[in-house]
Amino acid sequence: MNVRWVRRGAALFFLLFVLAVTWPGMLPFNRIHPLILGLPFSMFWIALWVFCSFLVLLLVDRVEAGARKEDE
Amino acid sequence: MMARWQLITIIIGLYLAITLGIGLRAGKRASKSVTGYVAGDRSFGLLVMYFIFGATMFSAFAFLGGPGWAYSRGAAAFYILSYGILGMAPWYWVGPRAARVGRRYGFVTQAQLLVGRFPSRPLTALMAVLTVLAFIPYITLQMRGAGIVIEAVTDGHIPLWLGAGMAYGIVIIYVLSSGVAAVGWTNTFQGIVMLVIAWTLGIYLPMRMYGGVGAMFTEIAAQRPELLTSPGLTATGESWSWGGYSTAILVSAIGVSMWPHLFMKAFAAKDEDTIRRTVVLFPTFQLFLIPVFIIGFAGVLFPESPGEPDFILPFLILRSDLPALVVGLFCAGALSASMSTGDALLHAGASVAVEDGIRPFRGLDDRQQRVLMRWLVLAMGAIAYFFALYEGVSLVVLLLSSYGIIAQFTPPLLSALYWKRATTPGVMSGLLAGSAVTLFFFFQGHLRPLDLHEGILGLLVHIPVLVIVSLLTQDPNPGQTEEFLRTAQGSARSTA
Repeated sequence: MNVRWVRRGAALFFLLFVLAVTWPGMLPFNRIHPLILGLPFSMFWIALWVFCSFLVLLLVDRVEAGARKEDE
Repeated sequence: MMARWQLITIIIGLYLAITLGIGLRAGKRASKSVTGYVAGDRSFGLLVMYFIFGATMFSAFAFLGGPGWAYSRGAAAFYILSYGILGMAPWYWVGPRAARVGRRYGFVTQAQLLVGRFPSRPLTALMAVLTVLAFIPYITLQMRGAGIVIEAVTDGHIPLWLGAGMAYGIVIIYVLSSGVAAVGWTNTFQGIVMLVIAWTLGIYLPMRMYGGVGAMFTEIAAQRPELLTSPGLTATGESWSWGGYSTAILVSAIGVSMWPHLFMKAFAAKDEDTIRRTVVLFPTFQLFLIPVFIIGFAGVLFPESPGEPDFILPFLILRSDLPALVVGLFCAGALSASMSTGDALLHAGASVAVEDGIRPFRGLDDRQQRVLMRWLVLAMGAIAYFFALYEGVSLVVLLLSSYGIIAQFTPPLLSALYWKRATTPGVMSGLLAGSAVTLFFFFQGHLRPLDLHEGILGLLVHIPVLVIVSLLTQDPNPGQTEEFLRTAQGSARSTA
């Protein structure tokens, strides 16, 4: 996969992350029910973004590491 | 039969002894040089870096303050869960850049990097002063946290002054003898203790008190629903504003990686891949805030309440009839959180004071620098200890405001590494203007529009000033700038 696209994708993801946990992006998800894994939805929503960051960064690292190898 | 508090004291003693042992051993391998003392000979691997970032970032504030916020302010605490990785993710690219120029030019502090690109003695002095000012209240809070926990779990048999003195006596011994190597290896141990204990208690307490995490939140939703949706409450129990909540996330995300004790670890990493992997793995550490908040929420419906919300964790622990072993372990977790941040702060504060505040003005050889750093570790420890014993609320407020100041380090450092047109006068005037605006709105809080964080208001002035003044002035030495940026970029084409 192209490094440039992955970087843009990651930047977009983290931008959406910021919008999704601040005003006004958080408003639609700022609710107690349904409880997920026992957590209020609002808390689960933020935790979900944190967890997805991990997956996105794993992908970024794979692609970037591949590109660095090609360079050498 | 031994008294309960004695058993707990023995567990705490064991924990402290192990920490001291690890800290002293760590120094055996480090070289006797400034690079060895401050940047660990640039040899930190992934395991150590992971726990340095995790354990250093989540201090006594997260371990004791986190449950306290969840308990008294509800979802306001969620801002702490939101910002960590947002602030760390750019570090995947910024960190290796900083490391490359650090290696090439021999930098061990943030200000050295900045001054390497923008030569100016007032700039390095300003950075040193702001760093030390931001650190003192931070260290004080860590010490108080340690003292309070020990006093609480030993039923007052070990008072605050003695508990804080013991814990930080040990920190000072290993920081003095082993420098950053001790910080790294003890943080690894402390990080593991923190993670295990937070997750264990976060699941165990709601099970024991409510029959499960879901059952607990169902009950809170029925009785105190206002606690479960953002932006939660203020310290006085009114609704917090969305403006305040959202900009708290923003300013923390912008500032978090600029804390000198974290930034400087880019110079301690073994290689660039280590920095990158530390960033990738960071969210897994951050999620430990979930059990930390659950512990705080567990106290919401508890009939009695502690005098101060920050004590909810020791309060619950002591009143739920837990075995002494669990109480002792909890205490070890809280001490870990406090000491893993406190040691990094003492070490980085002294290093910055010497490298950026004194050395540019008076010639010092390598050995003199190391001696002076050790004296400053002692001095900063002593000052913080003094405040820890005679402190009022004002320090918490100072700490929160220091985030606004630290966030002002972001534009100059990013300009140094990325923006060719940035000039010394531009960076200097931006930093001064941004810090001045931040301080103004800190002292005149009621003038802030929409309850926005003063650090964000500072940045709104800082960035235009930096850009405009830079464009109006000339770089006196474009060749050197080009060389600097080429080094930052590295040889690989893909880092362009």
